[in-house]
Amino acid sequence: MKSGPKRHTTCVGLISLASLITTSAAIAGPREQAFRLHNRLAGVPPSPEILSQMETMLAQGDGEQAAQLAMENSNFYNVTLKHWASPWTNKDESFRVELNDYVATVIGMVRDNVPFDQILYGDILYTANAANGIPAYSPANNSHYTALETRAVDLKTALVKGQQSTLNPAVTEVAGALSTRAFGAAFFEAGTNRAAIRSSFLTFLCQDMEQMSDTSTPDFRVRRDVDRQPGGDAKVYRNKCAGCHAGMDALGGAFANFDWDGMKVVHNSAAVSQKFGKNASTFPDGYVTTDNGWMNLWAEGQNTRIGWQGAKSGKGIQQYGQMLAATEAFPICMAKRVYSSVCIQDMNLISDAQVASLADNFKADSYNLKNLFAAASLQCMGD
Amino acid sequence: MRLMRQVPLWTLAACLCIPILGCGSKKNDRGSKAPSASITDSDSDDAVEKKKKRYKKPIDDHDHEPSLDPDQVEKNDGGEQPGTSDQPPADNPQDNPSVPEVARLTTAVGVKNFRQINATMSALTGIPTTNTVVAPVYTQLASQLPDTNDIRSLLASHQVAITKLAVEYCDQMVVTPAALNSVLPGINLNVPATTALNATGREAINKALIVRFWGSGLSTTPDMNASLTTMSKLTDELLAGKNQNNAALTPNIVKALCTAVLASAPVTFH
Repeated sequence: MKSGPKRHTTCVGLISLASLITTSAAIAGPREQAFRLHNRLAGVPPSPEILSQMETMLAQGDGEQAAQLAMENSNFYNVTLKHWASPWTNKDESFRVELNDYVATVIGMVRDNVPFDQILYGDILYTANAANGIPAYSPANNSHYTALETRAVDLKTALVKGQQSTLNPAVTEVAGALSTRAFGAAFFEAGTNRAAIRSSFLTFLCQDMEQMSDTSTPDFRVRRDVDRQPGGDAKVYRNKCAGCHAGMDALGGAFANFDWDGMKVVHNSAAVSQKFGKNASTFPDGYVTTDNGWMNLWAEGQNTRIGWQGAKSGKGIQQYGQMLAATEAFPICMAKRVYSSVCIQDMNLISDAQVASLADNFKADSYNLKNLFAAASLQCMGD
Repeated sequence: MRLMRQVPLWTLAACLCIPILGCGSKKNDRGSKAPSASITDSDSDDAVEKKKKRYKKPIDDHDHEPSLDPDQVEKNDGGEQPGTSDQPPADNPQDNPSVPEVARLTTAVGVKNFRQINATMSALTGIPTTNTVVAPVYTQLASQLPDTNDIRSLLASHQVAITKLAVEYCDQMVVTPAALNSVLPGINLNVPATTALNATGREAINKALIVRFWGSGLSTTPDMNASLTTMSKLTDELLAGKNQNNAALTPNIVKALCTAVLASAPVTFH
């Protein structure tokens, strides 16, 4: 590394960074708070006019209004929400995915203040008007959303609320994100649809299968493709495999009628998808899925911590989604995700207690996600 | 990428700023001055070992002194589930002494992700993200830009990509009259550098760039006078050895100055 005057002039960025780190938390008046609030919510700095307005609002103690003003910026939808929801739509949880129907629906629901629990069971799908070279929505490809992204169409104004059952009549069983094309492409492809269970738990309850694993759960719903003696040792199955499969397979029936054909979600309400019969010879006495019925065997035991409400069994993905949305874990998970996003906090470092009031207010506020973003952002805008 | 050949390498080097996190002294939570933990090129092997030992703290040390030891940071961050430590968690991780220093800093400062950086540069320069010059460069660079806001994941390669993208936005800003007039109102770049970048001219340009890109009236941004001094020195270096009577030089110098301000931390951090 060179030293001397040349080195000195190369440090514009360094000086700035040092200054930012050493002063951002300590010296934050309403103007600095407004600046951070806007950057965190919209992803871009405010214009001088908006900054002044937000500064005044904060000085008057109206942080909520200041946050709402920041969220008027289109980039809250085009950047922040798009980035926030993108990892939910692929197995790798990558942020680098194209805009798709799942993400667009999340964005539209937030814009329209649609109660966000409906993301798990509502007959909702957001599209845009096909015009100016934007291809019409099709359940068989992602071209519509790809074009919206490529042309930088403002999602704040372009998205239009529709019904999945109308836009994609071939799928007669709809449940918000769980029946979108992007969800199907990621979690119905190949496999046995267990990925759909895992994804819905991970995304909306912030619980991965390792956390749900309970070896005391009865295993009578574990399907035929699970080896009961992996490596010749039945104890491994009982002490490891069954912990997840007992609960997961019992819920898996919800997705029994769904498959992915490489282009679109395939739904057959009259028959169980063939994938549910895969590797049936592994343990022929295992459970045979005959319909889309499911039961929640995790409702008892250590997983009562999820705060299950209402029905513990049902048919199809809509009732399954309703069950997840009604849990106490759902608002806590959403509060954690929002807090993590706007406060740049590692999810692993956020405790339930830390977001308890945000979650309570989110639920009491009819699951209004935009207001949750506002409330969370005010908690870390600087002192 | 045409401009890349005209802009000195300092614009890239300026942004290799990761070492700043380790260099310079910094007050710890107890108010005492912590010695530098950075290991410099001039350190001997013995000195490096001594510095490593000085900051190596036992994992079961419960005095909660913030540690700069990366091993311990890694051990505490993510390796331990909330609620399982001996110490009850504080409501706010920033106030929790058991949370490592680096983890607490992430709440205060984050680096913008690839989408935010692109949108920010677009908003500040007035050049749309769909600009036919900028858009393909962004597509090419996107995978090299930060994925998340976690400052701990920031790499030198990220900063290089940020700078490259800033070069393109500044290039387009200077050649687009409406954008140029918005960022540098009333400033004529079609005159020789001897006029446009004399003491008065350069201050006007640099100040306008800083105010536009970093904001004004913010105590969290670097000191204006110090920044102007640095930018003036930079202007001198950019002009050195060039024919300053050539009016075509002026826009190129301004593109470089623009890049320096646009690719800096007050823009890309939040």
